[in-house]
Amino acid sequence: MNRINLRKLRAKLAVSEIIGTVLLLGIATSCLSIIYFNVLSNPAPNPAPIVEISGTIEENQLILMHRGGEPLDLDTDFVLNIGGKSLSFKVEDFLDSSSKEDGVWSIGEKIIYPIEYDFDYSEYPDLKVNIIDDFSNSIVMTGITKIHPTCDVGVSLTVDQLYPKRYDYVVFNLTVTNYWNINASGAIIEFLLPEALSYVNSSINQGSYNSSNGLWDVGTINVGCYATLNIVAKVEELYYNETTQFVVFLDGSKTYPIASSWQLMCNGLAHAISNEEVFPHDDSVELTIIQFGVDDVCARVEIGPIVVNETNDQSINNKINVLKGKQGQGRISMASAFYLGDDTVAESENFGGFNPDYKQVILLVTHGNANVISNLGSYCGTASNETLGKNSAAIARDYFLDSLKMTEDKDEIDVIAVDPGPSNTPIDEQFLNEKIVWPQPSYNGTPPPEDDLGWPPAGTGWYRYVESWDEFSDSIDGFFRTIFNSITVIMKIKSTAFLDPIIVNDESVLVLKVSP
Amino acid sequence: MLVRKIIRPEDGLVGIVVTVLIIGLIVVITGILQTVYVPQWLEQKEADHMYIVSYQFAQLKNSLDLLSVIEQKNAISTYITLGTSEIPIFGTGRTYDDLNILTDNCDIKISNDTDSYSFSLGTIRYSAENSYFVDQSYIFEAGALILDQSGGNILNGKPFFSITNFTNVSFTIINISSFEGKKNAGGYGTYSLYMEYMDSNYYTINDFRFINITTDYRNAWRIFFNGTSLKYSLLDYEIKDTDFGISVEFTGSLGNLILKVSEISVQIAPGWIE
Repeated sequence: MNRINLRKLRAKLAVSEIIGTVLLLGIATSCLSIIYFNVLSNPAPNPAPIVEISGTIEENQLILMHRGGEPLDLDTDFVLNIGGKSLSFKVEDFLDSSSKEDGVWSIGEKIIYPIEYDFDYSEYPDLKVNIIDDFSNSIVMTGITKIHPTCDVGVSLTVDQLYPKRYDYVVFNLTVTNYWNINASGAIIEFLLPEALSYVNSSINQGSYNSSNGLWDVGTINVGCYATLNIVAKVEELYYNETTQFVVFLDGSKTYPIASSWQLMCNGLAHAISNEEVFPHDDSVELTIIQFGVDDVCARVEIGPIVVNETNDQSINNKINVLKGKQGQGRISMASAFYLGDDTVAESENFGGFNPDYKQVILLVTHGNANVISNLGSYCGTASNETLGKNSAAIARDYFLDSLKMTEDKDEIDVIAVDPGPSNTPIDEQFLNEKIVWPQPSYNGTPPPEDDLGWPPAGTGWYRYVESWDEFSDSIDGFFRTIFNSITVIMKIKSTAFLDPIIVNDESVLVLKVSP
Repeated sequence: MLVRKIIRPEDGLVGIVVTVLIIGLIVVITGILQTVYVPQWLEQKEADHMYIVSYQFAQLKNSLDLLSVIEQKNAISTYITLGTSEIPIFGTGRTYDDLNILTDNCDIKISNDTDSYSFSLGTIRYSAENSYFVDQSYIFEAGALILDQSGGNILNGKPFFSITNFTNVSFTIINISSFEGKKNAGGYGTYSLYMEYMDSNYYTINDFRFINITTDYRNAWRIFFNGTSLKYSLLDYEIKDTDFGISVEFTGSLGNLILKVSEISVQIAPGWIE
């Protein structure tokens, strides 16, 4: 009986123990579950250093700057994927010595990695950078950027003769040079021969040249090297057949030291215009000569507008000879000349009437500073001082440009300034250069004439200072040849696969002066 | 006697041991959280707060620049958050920061061969007192926004500096003024900065030769001058460290400088405007 009771008692106690243990385990499990839920449902903390790093590419250098946060160890890995290769470095490899003094890469300090463009960067345009903290084995910065290599390539154009005759053969030498410290890939050079020149043949040491579109695909130019192209061309035609309205503004004011100077100028002008090798006589040019400084403060049409040809060149010559005795000897009414010139050109009935698509060329010859104020609609003005006179002339010139819808690609205003002599106020060259010559910036062929710096001008809009009327008379042929008989050839960089920071040598221009 | 024989002592120990083990486990887990995870959370939280302050200071600079540009009697308020709150459950991690308007804290002196123009400028400085993340300060000084921390400083926003005709410089600086009692705030919370435009003065300095800046943040100002278009101008210049800042010396052909100094009153104004 006793044995039975003990068994029952032990069995009950065992059951209680099991239940108690189960309950305790249940409580423990619940607590752990709650803690687990609270702890692990929050975002896990990032053990990586908290740091801000910015990256830029400047002048073929990858620059990574620490922009705040925790400093990084010098043995932090710096991994680059560039040009199809993966390169691994330590931060300390590209920190400067002063930045390494404190043993860490900290705020404001830069990694400067010089990129070597020894690969075809048109094929691999991307750069990827990773900065990996060794301690936490985590990436603290990653970035992908387009590389933009910087390289200076310069072009140079020369010709074996600047003053050829019609039907001559000329040889152009084109050179492209790599002045930078990386290889220059993908340079396309444009050199299209103008209509007056015909392509004969070419020789090349690198790349390929297409004479029909004028494009020279140079390929890659290594550091310090250059590529050359020689082109033989034949001078075919002059621009005589381009319809041109040519206006000469002559300063007839009394600041001429002696009347013979005016006569000297007229002689030179007459000789140049009558010379078919200098001035077109093929019905393509309309000539107008306006004298300012007449009737004290006025401007007057002396010749034209008349289309010059072989039948009337002698009569024009005679009219200029008559002009020798008609020097106005008034004040310098430059503004009046512009207003009168504008109306004369606009109202001309030659070539079927005025058309802004025609070429307009204005040549102003002066030997003093404007000192007359003129207003729109009047060819006479009011005597004034030089400051107001020049201001009035600048306004009139601007009106002239707008009224005739002149465009920089074909039209021009050129100026020849003749030394007025020691007894007169010096000419304000800056005013003429900047406010009268057009388009801007002007080509200043002065001084010194003997070196011919900037001369002949490589484009439209030029200024020339001459010491005397003798020099003017001797040089007028050259001036007209510059206007009418020039062939401009341009060599320029059309496209590259790199940034070229120096643009001054990206274009080379030559002007050939052709004799018939 | 019989019961003692039936319920042995080792039967009672089982429950106690299990309970002790569970409590121990909980203590261990809590200890790990407090010593390992909580500091990392707090560091991240403080870093996040610094990003917020960075953004708020960018807004502050934007507002000051606007007031300087429009030159009208207007006021703008921006807000800066000081300190971080504690993390839940553990109840730790609250930090307290400082925000101060400092008078005559930065000098800018521009001179040519005959004249010298000197300006003593007020600045705004925020200083974080972090527990785990790097202590950082944001400073608005003469129009520049600067981040400073142990080890150096950088420029986060630059004042207006423009070059025309390759030699002529336009430079705008902002002078911060305030009233006593409205210059400081410290602790935890979001504080408003009330900014009111006062005046602008222009100075033309022909053939300027020196720009001297007395500052605690040489590197930031060096970054500023290196980042302007000066290097593309026709001016020859050299940046040097001085005893109390930096100096930019111009040589060769000199240019003209038009300096604009805008006066803006700033007040840390909890309750001030009511």
